[in-house]
Amino acid sequence: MKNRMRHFVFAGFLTLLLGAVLTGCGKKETSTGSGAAKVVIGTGNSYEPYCYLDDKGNLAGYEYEVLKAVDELLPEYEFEFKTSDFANVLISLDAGKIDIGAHQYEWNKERDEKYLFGKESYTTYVTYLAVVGDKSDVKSLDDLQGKKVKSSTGSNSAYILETYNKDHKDDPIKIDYVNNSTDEETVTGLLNGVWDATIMTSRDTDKLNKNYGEGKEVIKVIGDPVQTSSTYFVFAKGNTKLQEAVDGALKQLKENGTLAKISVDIIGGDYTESE
Amino acid sequence: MNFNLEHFKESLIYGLAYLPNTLSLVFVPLVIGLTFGTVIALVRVYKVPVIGWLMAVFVTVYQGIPIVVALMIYNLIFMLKFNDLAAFLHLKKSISDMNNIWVGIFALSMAAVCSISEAVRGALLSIDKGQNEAGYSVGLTTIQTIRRIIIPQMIPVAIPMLINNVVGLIKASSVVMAIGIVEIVAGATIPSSRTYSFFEGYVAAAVIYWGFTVVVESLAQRLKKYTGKFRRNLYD
Amino acid sequence: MGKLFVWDRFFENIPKILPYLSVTFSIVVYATLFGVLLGISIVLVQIKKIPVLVQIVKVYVSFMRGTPMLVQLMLVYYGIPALFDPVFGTNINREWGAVNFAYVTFILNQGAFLSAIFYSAITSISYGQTEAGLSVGLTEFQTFHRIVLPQMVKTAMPPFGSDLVGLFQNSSLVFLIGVTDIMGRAKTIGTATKHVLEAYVFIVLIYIIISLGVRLLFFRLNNKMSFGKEEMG
Repeated sequence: MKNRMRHFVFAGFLTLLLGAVLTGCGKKETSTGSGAAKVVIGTGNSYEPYCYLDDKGNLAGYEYEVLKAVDELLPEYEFEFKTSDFANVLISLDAGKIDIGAHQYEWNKERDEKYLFGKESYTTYVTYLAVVGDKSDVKSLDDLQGKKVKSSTGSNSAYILETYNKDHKDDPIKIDYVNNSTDEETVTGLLNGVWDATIMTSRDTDKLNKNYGEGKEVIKVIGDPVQTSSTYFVFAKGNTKLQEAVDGALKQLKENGTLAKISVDIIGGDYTESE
Repeated sequence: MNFNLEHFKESLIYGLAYLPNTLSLVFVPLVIGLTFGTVIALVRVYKVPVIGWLMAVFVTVYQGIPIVVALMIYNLIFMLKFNDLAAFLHLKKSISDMNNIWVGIFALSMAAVCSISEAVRGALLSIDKGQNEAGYSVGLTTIQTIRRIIIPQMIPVAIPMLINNVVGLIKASSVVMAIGIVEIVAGATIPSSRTYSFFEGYVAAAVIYWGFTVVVESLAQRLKKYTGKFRRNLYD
Repeated sequence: MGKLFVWDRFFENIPKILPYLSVTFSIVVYATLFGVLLGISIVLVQIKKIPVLVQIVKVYVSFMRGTPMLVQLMLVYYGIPALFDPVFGTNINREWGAVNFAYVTFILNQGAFLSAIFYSAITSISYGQTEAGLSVGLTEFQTFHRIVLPQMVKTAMPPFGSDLVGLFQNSSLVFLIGVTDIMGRAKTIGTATKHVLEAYVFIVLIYIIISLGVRLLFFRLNNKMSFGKEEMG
């Protein structure tokens, strides 16, 4: 009989667990009765301060704040956020899982062929080559032939490097695709010579120096910008209605200064119009 | 979502180009695993004092760690400490000469040593104790008994488990892409970062892996027949 | 660069990571419960040799065993909705969170692996046992229930245990499709606090404890089911 009792306890435990899990899943399905169309935003979870998870595990960052402000101006839509790693955001857009991709996307030709870009930018994005502070032998992409440069799958920096390599097939840059790496890994790798360079914005190097440099300039940007661009929200091809609505709201946020304020609050400077 | 055959083909070619990387990520750990795994298994089965116990604890604990997590930690330490280590060993190498595929090989080797030692240990335990006694009674030393009597009998028993280990290694090797080593999956998705056809990339990777493991398993079937040839089996 | 490992940060991370254990556990529980059911169905198809289905099942099991979990996760996450939604008129593509796709992947994967374990357990019992049962007048069901099943369960127990340990470890891959489990949380803590090693070390400890727990549980179960047989070696 004792054995039987144990079985019951075990079965009961499993049922409880299952119940807990099921109710956990069900929670998300609420709050769709207001009549507003649901728009799913896909963003990342490890690009501080743009999109990351805060202390309690909730999404935070610039992308989130901007889109929340956009949502407030658009009563006909209701935004919901889905996070994944960077490489998966655009695939999710492609697969129809999300309606807007928000991950500091710069415009480039290949992306433009496949997705619909917003017309209204929400941050400038000027990227440079970034190297360790005391390095002086690298001035441009040409100096990196045969050397290792860190990038990640699906990023604009990968696009820039691959485009460069297409024209320099004899001695290409070695591209290291490191997906979902943390800032700590980036800094460590650059400092110890795992990679000779990477591509990032000067505000990213400032951030890294502040967090890991203890006041010194451990990482610096060099030379002319590799690309001067801005970032846009990305939509599925043909979804012009949503794109126009979001663009309209963004424009309003720019005009009334809200966007600049969010940028100052979160990124630490107004990067909405120019550097 | 449309499936683009052109992109799929491109991904297939790219993925195959990185097959050699996957091969070294599988076969180096396999050789290391077989060597050290067999030693650990023997040490444990023949109950060598202290070392046997230490090995048992190490294998049991280490097998609880997911390879991805171990890999991330090793990579971080590798990036931070390799130059110090090289200086300490008076190696004329710095980290930029090193390919971090070695970090992947190290992480996979550690896992392979543990799982192969378990497979070999299981096979050793399946052999009747009387076989040892028979060896001793005709005047063989322990080493001779192990080499001439135990190991030949153990091999056919261990092979199916070892094949599982090889297949496991092939699949586990894909996680090294998390630290930027380009193997089949990462290779197959390289064109995707230009074409944004990631789904095609993953399908291509799946096809390559599937083909790879099917080939390994069919080779294993043959090997099994061959090594089992001299084994009397009442049921066959 | 500052210190690589600081105990204060290690302890700060504990309350942030622990709640996400429920995600890891729910994946394992779903995968095991439904995986066992799926595994049994597959074995039935194989033993009864149901035409067509046998071939399909063979390809399915071979695929699940021959491709990496990581790739399976991606294929299910993006592929299953593309196959299902148009056919059934559903919209799981958007309505399901990433975690549901993780459940599906792990159930499909476990079903295949468990079917292999069950199949070899059932075929390891010689037909003589069934004949013996039938010859003393037991019905076919009674023979299976009282003679074959207990032996089968005992044979299947050890590989089932190691499979479960492996399942816990594999669940650490779901962070790649955006499910925040303990691994995903460790990673995101790394982003938010700029230090990732302490979080990794903590989850390594969690995984070790889980694996030791599962092993101990199966060791006990195995001893209980010895049916008076003496262990060799």
